Amino acid sequence: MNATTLLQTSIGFLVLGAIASYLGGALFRERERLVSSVVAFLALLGSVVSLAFLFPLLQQGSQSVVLFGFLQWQVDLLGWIVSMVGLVLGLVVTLYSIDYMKDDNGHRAFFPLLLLVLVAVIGLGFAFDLFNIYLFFELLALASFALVAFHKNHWEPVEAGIKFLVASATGSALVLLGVALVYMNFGTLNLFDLFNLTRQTSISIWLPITCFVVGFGIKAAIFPLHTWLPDAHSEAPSGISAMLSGIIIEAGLFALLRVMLAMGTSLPWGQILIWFSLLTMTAGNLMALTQKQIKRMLAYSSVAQMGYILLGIGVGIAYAVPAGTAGGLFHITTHAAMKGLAFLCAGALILRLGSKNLDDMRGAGWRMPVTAITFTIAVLSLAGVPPFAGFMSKLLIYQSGIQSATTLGWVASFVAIFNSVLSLGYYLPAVGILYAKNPAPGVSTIKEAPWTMVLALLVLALIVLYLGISPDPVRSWAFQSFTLLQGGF
Amino acid sequence: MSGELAGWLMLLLPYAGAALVPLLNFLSSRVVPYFAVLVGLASSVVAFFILGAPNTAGVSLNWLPGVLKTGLSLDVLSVVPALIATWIGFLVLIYSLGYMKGEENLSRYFSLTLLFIGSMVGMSMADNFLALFFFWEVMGVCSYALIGFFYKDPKAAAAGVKAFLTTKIGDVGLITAILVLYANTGTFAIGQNLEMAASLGAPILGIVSFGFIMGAVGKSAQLPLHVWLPDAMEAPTTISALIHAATMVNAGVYLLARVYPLLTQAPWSLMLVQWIGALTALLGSLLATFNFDLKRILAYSTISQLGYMVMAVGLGAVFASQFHLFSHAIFKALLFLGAGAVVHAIGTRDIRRMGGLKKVMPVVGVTFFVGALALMGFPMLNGFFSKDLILESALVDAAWGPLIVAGLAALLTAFYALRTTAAVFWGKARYKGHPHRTPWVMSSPLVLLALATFVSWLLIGPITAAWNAANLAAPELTIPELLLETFTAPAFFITLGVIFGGLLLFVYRKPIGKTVRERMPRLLRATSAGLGFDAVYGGFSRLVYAASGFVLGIWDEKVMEGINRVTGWCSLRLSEGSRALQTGDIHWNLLYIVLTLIILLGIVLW
Repeated sequence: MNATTLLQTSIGFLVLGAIASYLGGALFRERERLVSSVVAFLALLGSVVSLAFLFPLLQQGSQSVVLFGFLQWQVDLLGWIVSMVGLVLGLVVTLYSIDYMKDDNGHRAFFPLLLLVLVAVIGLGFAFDLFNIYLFFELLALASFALVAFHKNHWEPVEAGIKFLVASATGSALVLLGVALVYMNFGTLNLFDLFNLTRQTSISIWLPITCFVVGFGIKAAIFPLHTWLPDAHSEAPSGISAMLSGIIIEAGLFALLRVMLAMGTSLPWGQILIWFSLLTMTAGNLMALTQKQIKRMLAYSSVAQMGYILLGIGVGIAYAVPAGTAGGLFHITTHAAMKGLAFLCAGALILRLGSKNLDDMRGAGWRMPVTAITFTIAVLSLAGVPPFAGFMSKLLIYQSGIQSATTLGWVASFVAIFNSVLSLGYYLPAVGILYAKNPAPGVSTIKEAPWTMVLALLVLALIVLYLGISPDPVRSWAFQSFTLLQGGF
Repeated sequence: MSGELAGWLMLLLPYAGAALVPLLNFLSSRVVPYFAVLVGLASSVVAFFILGAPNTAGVSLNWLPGVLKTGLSLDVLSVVPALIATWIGFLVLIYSLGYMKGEENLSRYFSLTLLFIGSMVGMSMADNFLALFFFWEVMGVCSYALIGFFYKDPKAAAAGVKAFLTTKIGDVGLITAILVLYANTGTFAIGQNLEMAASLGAPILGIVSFGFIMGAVGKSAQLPLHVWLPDAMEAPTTISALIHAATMVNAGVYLLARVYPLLTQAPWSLMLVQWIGALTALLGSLLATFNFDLKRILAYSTISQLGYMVMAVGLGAVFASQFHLFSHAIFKALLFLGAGAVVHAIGTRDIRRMGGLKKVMPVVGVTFFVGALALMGFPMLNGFFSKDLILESALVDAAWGPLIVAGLAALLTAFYALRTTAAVFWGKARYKGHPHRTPWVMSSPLVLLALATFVSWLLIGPITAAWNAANLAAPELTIPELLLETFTAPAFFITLGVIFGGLLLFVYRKPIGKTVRERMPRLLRATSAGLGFDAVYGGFSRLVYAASGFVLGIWDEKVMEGINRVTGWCSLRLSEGSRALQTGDIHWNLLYIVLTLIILLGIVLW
């Protein structure tokens, strides 16, 4: 099978799955949750499998494909990695949400929206003209908005959703402005053409790129554009928090990376990104330090982790250090696994305890052993402790700063390492609370999470461990995906 | 099965077993010992496959690119200690079935034992110094935990700590050497480091080789860091056998043999190694002669035999040292397991309260005597051939000083080996009560090992061939050549002479003992107190402890506490300050976005 067919199958599964999941849920009202979720799960599984078969075709370089007769995409390993990360995380989250969403209604909307998010992620991964990127960016924003505000009967989720919508609409407006400016100057939106054009002509592109940095930066929660994130992440259903943290905000960075690789390498954008990354990780860690709510803490930690990814990308763009861009991409992969795991564990605790406050979780680890152990693995990995996945990806990013052999690179690496230590200041107390000897009232009667949720946790924990002990096939793919790029693509 | 796969399995099986034992213990504590024995059996069967494929490079994992690439190197040098650890370890595990029956915490015991064996395998097969050091340290931890296995006995607990701390002194030297090498060559790979050794300057080479010697001296209980080994006798006897024959102490000798090419670049270090070895051999045998504790005698005898091996490395006879390591592993395991059976049966370790035991436990008696003969270097037993090779290399090198010292040690060795056997098994019974019978799980390893002392030297043909194939200096010997060379070389007469001397000492032990007791009471007292090493070290460590406690008090209470307070206070204030930025008001959010846009434009346009 060729790349076009495989990609069509993969997207077809998702789109048709979304429709089938909605219709199934609407038809079988009695068993809405089960039907919708199982259909969505199977569709996702099919999508993952067909995308996996695409891998061997990308070993030699990118291919251009025309999907369904009108979508012109460029398929490459870089996009494949990001799409695959999104799909696998989506699969685990679907499994998890079957039981987690038990007490909600409207499942026939929840699971289809989740699939649409993944369609948008695949689109962002492979689209290679600016308008397509914008389009999928909007699809992503709309679908995730609906998911963030899913508990529409409560005030907080709705408020968080509105904030998210306003912030991301502002970002979209800026991106659209940038797209328009680029088209005005160059007459094309194809990134491949733009790569050549921006190097041949002397037309200044500082304004569109500024628009792109701010626009995508809002979605990627770069400090000080992150303000929508803590609300959205803590108020969304936990599975969605995992998706938001694990792949949706990364998609913003990924779009930024695409644009930067095509047009941004000539100006000092790399250095600016490094400065932003340092601000982002420090601010994220500092704000997380005194959080009392487990999901808000994890949300701020996501801000900090975005700083790491941005640092890798910035060093890679500024100094052409392969370890930087590859480290950023690898950290996207590991972060999806470990932050997804952390949010899912938090969700399991909240489900059983009915409280988001860390204080109410004292001693819960003794009653929910699997959840507590996987949570420990997740946060240790987030802090960059060997032998977990986060250590390997952070190490690459530290290395890239040092390999750049510049003062800024060294400073950045040291700030990043210092930030890792700082982050232990809130991760470790959270673990300590779970294993406290004097349990909080209400803890003594709880049970371990339902088995589907435990299974989801175990899968992600194993991925985190595997990538930490033997990072190599995945890490080398990250390197390979950048060496395969030719001129931004 | 390829040799490579066998190598990985030999490493991973005991590790996996060690991890599974505690889990299995939840299910049923009764199956744990049998499971451990099965794991041991599996890895010793796998070990046969490694014999076919020496000198394969082994796969390597690029774990931290640019920093650490780790893997297995399977060459003749590394395979031998690994095989010894696996096979002797397996016998020890079987023996433990009987010996440890009815003890508490068996899952801890078997888990640590498997970890110990696996670490020795990993240490010897590691292809880079960092992995070697990792396994080296895991072994240190295992030895600590196993020596202090009966932790309710304060003597055992103290012995564990002593072993850990004493070997740590050597470990500091080892890690220094590794890091200095890394700083100068930029790699941890053992092979590359040894190749680049010649290009290092004299001072660096000096530091590095001294560090390696320190590491080996600590781990292999050489002078002056030998003090932990006799105390380690508080461990269960099985663990003593493991430490003395299969793991731990072999590590130091192996390390010296491994870095021998580096040591040759600094000739003084070889000289140092020679003398350390020879003096340790003499000291060990002297202390063994004047001791009455069965296990301590064997401990001192190990120290002395390790001295021979270290001396051999110093003389450039790496092959002889590894050959003696091989022989020693067999006969020392035999002696220890035999001693264990005796201690198990009559419940004391004092040889003055034994005697005549050969009637009660004939199998143990005969096998122990065979082991003692091998220890003496009695012709046609394995100890004879390997010790003879070492003495011969000293003779060839005309290293008269070490030769004389080592010869004296051999004489004393012959004496105390005979004396111990006589005191325990021959003569009149001086024990009280009825000794237990030896269960077959304990006697069968003894018989196997006793047979091995007769035949293990026959392996010299294939071993030397493999050494030569690997371009390592070894005399290529077939068995007839070995016999011819051994029985005609002058060293043979030295060996025979010292055995004869030992016999004479034994025959006239009563008058000599009387003279020593009457004329030299001080010597007797000094030797029974270990020549004062322990007292000096004990005083020194108490001094260091008191001084560091004082400094630590000031540092902890005043300096660190202050820093902690200040940094903690600062981070909390910063955190609260930055939280104030997070207003939650959407207008502020939009203002931030606009501000960022303006600032960015400002940077770019400026």
